[in-house]
Amino acid sequence: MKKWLAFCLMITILMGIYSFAAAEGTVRKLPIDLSGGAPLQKNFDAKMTVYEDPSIRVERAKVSGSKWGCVYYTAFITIADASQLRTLPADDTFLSKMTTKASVMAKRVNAVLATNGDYCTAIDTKKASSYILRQGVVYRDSIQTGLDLLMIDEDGNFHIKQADDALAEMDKTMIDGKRVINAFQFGPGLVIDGEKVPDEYILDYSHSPDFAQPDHKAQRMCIAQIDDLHYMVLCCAFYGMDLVSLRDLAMELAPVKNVYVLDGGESTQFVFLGTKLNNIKEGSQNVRPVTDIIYFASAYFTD
Amino acid sequence: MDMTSYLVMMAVSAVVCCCMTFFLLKNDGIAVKQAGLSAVLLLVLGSVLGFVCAKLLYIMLMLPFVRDLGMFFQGSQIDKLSYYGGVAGVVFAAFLVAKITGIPVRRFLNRFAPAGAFMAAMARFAEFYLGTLGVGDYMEEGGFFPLAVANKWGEYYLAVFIFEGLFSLIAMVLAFLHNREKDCFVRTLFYLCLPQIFCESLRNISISWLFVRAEQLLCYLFVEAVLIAWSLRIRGTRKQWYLPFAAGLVVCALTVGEEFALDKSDIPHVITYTCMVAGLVLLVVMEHWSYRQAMQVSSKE
Repeated sequence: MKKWLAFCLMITILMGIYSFAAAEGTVRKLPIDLSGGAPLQKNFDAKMTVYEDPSIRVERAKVSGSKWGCVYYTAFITIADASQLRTLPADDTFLSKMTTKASVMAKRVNAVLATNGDYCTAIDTKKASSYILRQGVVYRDSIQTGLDLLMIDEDGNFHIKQADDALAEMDKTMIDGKRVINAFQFGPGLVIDGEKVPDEYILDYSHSPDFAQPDHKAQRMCIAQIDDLHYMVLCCAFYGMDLVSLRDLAMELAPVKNVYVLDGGESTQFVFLGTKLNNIKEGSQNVRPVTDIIYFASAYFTD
Repeated sequence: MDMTSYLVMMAVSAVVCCCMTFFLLKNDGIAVKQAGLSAVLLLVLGSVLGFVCAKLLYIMLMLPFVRDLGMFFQGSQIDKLSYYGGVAGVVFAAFLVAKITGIPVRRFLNRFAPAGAFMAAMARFAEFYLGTLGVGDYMEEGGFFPLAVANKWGEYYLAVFIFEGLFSLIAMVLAFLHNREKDCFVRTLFYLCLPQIFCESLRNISISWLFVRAEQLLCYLFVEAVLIAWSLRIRGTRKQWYLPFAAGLVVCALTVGEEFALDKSDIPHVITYTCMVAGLVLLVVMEHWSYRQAMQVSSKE
């Protein structure tokens, strides 16, 4: 009888150890495609400012009443692998003009933090011919030489090439021997390789998409790289700020290496755990649907 | 996207449309041989010109924004066509068929009107097979077919193509009821274009220049042209002759404001769309009133 009880006890302990080990999970590199990240470990809570698991840490903040004259939102993101910085279209392809809310797209792919992208299929005289490379696939091999080009390589490093005719000739699928996973054309770049871009360049209308009005106050969204696999997302709320102020704010918040402007205005959407957090107003609110998002996903799987 | 099913549905609808035209012409006293030839020619020319004009109008609308013409012919072609270009192509085909077969153009077009509206409806319903091409906004509270269609992620989007098809069927019924009117064809086109102004606004994917929806604008141009034509017909006899085209201009200006509000303001969409529909209903009233007045004038003459 004692032996039998001891055997049962041992089996129970072993099962406990096994289930504990299984719950530990693993961090796995995510595939370079349109699939999503690992399931989220926690649901959204308005009070939650940090999401953390062994593969990702996102710390968000909302700052109001600062010297910058507008409410702004920040997120500092650290990921374990570059594959966790991803993009997603509203439809099956980045060539579709289909749009939907960034929060809807974020939920599809278990995004920890998501922002609107560069509205890749917008039709204005510049965006219509912009370069579209997403999740390792070239969707549109044209180039708008009047806009800066942001390339994110397989190590998750940012490379910003300023507007220039040479953009048409260069290889945009490889940079410094690394494969480019995502490329964007909105901009301009506000900080490049740690150097701040001159005011005159930023405020020059020819370096922004039509209607972006770089010298006007508007809602803005930018993405920045601070260090290897360490990023910042910054957006400001209505009435917003001009792009020079946005650059200065980004540089004040962190020692950024590269900062690049994404679509702004009503497209600005800062989504944490599937919930849009910027510009939340009382009562009803219309949210502009967008064509694409950039997101950070968890790579921590417990199955 | 199921292109085969789409093309089959379009082909069957085109055949049914031509058969309808044949019977409508025959019932109007056109010889069977002449009516039959018209139907066959309409099927061939309508298919070719419908496609060619849909492509041409798309290229014309997008030309200011695209430097590389090759882009018009790359990848999927179905989303690089203009619906109203297709409509224009089929109308042009009907015009040519009337000329070729020697049937008076007005008479032919008036008989063709219900069949054309039927084809317009089927072309919209066939968008069911084109994935997201004919859908509207994401529906937060979910939905059900035919009000909404689900995508592969289980998200529901407003099935705008169904509404457009239903509006076209209403235009078809009106065309049948008013088949003897001398302006039946123009009025049918008017009632195809008018609801499109509203539906185009609901569509998620449309040919747009930033915030301007090109086909909505084209529909307004046609609607306004009809209202001007009816206004001019009653100019000499009615004090309020200018009301229809003035209403057209005002409602058009309001629509521009409403489109802006949909994108930029937090006014609930329901309110904005209610205003838009109210404006369009006013245009229906104006068209009906001015046409009846014009008919009275012409009958007295």
